[in-house]
Amino acid sequence: MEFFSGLDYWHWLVLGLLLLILEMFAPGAILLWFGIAALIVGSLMLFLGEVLDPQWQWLIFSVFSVVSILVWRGFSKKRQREHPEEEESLNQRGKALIGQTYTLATAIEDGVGKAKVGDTYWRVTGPDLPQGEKVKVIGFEGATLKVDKAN
Amino acid sequence: MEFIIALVALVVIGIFLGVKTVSQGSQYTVERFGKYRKTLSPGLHIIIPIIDRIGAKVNMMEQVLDIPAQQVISQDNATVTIDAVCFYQVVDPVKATYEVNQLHRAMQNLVMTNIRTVLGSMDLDWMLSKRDEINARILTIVDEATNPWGVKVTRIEIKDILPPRDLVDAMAQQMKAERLKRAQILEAEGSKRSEVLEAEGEKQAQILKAEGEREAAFREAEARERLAEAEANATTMVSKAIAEGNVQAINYFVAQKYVEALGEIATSDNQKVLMLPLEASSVIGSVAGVAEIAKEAFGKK
Repeated sequence: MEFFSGLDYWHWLVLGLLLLILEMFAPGAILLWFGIAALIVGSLMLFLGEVLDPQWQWLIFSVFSVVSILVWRGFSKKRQREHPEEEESLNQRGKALIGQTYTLATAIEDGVGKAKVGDTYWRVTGPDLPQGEKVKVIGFEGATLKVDKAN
Repeated sequence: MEFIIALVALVVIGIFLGVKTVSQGSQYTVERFGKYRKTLSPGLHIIIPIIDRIGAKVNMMEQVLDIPAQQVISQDNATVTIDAVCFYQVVDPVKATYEVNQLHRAMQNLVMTNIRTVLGSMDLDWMLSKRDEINARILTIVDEATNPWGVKVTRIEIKDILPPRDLVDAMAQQMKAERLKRAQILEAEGSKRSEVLEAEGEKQAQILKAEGEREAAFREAEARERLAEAEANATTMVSKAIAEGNVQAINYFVAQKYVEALGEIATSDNQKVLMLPLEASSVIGSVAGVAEIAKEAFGKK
């Protein structure tokens, strides 16, 4: 109880910095938000003087912990919306192949066939086409590429 | 104050459990009350800790699957030990998590059984020489089979095909015999060729020799002809000269020749006997000074 109620502004600042240091060592961005919140509380107390009683201090700390995460998420979402081309194809084989043109290794019959991609073969779905036809990848679903006749 | 402490505790625990950082190369599935809800891609995510939980952490990188060595009986009844390696990548984390239990084990067994199926229908020589084809065939089957699990098999490579010891020895023996046969054939061919060449050389030599002789005979005949012609000419000329002139002129020539011949005989070493043709005596008689030469010659000896 004493610990919760007897905190000075510099306690908060030190706690914030300490949490940030710990964040560097620990994996996963978790302590970062508490660190930011603690620094905010410390700064508020420093500028407003000794007006915040301990309950408020902790309340602000909790609120800012959550808010800082939400703000970060808002930023990254907005960024993704503005730059959809940055949507990465790393670790997503199918996505990396979209827009490429390949040759059919087997004819597409009943909507399913095979195309040679690099040194391996992918299952493709699309309109029925004879073997050797060039096809363009327009989408993917799991390990199956959706193709259309390349023109 | 107690309430605030409880609230702080809730926020801290909530953030600890609710903020999820997914690192590049993996994706997490989220289950809400046990039912699949969404997939978290790499980056920072928030889930609601009370109702959501992480179902599976799926590795999205290409992975290597070692296929343990196994014994396969080929079509011509050779028992060979085969091990392989398989490369695959999860392309659909949801299917890989929920459509199949123990993906790794499932894939391993699938590859193993298919290696048996494909290799069991081949004979040993084919197995050892057609790796590419084998790889392609197994890959086709396995890739098709793993499709419902959201997995893309990129490569299956047979690493080692080990026939039993005695078979390897037999193969080596066969190889050796093959080489030996080739060497012997080459040697025989070499000696045959050398003999043929030799005979041909001899034939050529004989032909050349015969040709040379023939040529020589021809030339000789020609020479004799020329000689006879010359003789005839000379005779003709002499008889012409005789017809035109005096017999004495001939006598003069003959005498001159005699004298010369006698001189040569006289001056030659070891000359004990001097043979004179009978009819020559008349000539000698008619030629002045021959007797003296003769005397001189006999006197010397």
